[in-house]
Amino acid sequence: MDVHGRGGTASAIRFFGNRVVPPLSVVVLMLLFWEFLIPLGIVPGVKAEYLGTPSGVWAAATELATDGYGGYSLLAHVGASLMRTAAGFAIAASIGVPLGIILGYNARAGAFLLPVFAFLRPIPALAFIPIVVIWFGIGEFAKVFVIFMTSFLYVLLGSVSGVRSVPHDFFRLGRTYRLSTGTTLRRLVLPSALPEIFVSLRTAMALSWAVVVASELIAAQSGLGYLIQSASQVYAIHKVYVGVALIGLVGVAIDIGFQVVERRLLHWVGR
Amino acid sequence: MSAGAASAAQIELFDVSKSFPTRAGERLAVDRVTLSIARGETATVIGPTGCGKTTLLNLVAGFTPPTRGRVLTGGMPVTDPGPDRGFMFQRPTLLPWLTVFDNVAFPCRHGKGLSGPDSEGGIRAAVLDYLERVGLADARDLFPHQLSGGMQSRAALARLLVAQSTVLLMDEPFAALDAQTRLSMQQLLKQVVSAEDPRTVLFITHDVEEALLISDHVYLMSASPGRILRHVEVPFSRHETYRERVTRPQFTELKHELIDQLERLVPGKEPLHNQPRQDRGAH
Repeated sequence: MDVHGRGGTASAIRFFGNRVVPPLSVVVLMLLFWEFLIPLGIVPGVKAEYLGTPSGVWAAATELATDGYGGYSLLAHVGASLMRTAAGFAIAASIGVPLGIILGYNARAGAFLLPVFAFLRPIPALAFIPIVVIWFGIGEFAKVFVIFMTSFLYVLLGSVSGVRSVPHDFFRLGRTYRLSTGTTLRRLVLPSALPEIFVSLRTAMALSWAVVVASELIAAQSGLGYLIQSASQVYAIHKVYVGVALIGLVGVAIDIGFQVVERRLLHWVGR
Repeated sequence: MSAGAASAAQIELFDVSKSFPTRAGERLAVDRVTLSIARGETATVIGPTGCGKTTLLNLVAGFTPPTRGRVLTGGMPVTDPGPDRGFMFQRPTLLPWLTVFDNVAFPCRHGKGLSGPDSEGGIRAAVLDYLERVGLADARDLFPHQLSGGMQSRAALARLLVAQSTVLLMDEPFAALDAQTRLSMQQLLKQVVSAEDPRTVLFITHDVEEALLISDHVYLMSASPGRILRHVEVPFSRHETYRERVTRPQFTELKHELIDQLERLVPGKEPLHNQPRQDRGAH
């Protein structure tokens, strides 16, 4: 922040020289090495045709961007993965946050249900995939369900812990002025727990994005996971690279989006 | 309402005890306390840490019921917390997501059974009035994290006053402030709780000077079990200034007398408490 804040061109140049040029030059050197030296076979044990080349990746990227893959445009593949993630995540958040607030607020209800969820949470969502395939087949619902499972437990337990960290005096303030349970939950508990709830939402989203790709590796006709899996079966290594890079880019974009919302919504946090 | 309103006592405790179960058995936090605070008076309870003075306050607030005895406010038995008894916590307890204005307006906007204003216009006027009185009129749109510790205390005081509670229960509200800010808060409290806006105040502190500065009555409490050992009627005029009060020889004399008495109550110096030490857990 400060680097830009002080504004001068001198500091901008310093920022560029210290923070941008050094890592960039390493990347450029590596790309040159990969493009020109690997194909000569100078690194023993590395087969150039499996490793591909940067220019090949570029060519694959432009081809995918213009012609798409498997009958869908590249954007459609990204969109398919995003839609599944968004659907599973949205359902999970809209059930998980309210339920978590209630279970965190009401100790008796929490005592019934929380041990069950605590048991389910450490199980990786991928372990559910075979079960889900048996239950629901390999349709859209199965993938959305796996994402729901991933997000739901995180959001729920994050919300519970958020509610439990609400300062005790906030509740005493509420009791002093006879706030109704609804008002207490909406005006005291939710805003106070929101920072922690938001952390759990952000983590759940990142996990969901990872899981959607994994679920598409197993059974899908669209999506980035499908693209990677399908391209790798015909040794189209450059397309696989492009698919993997896109997963990373979209993941970063989602996280930045979350940070922007977080900073506006939770302006008081960390001050 | 009827019988109590006629009597002059606003807060009354009759033979009140409170014990808590601990691993080492029952811990008697408050032991057969009887006291009465008249309407419009400020009473302070001083005592060593863990002597049960906060428990005493919680009993009047209705946060916890007594094990025996009766607690009355305005002649009515205390059964649960209510807006007639405002509470100021050890920390300002402002809601960090609300501005100073919205924090102060919070009880009036969302509380039930308050005798303060209830229309948005009335609330607005009252909040601005109290912000003015505590010197925060210019800070009304700031958030708590943008305030100093003293300003946060002022905001908490404004929130306490605007709800028009007849009884103010204050649990060492200035203990965390630096000496200078604490002094200005004490003076502010005396200034805002005055003849034109009378409240009955029960104030908890372990600072003898603070007690003598702000109150009409001082109660000295011992630890384990928590008993009222001494009741001092502060012999100074309410209207004198801080300087007038602290420069009186009688003030200094009383202060040192109480400090000496408190010293002797600190566990380890004199075995006043006849209960095992591990009983002294949460206070």
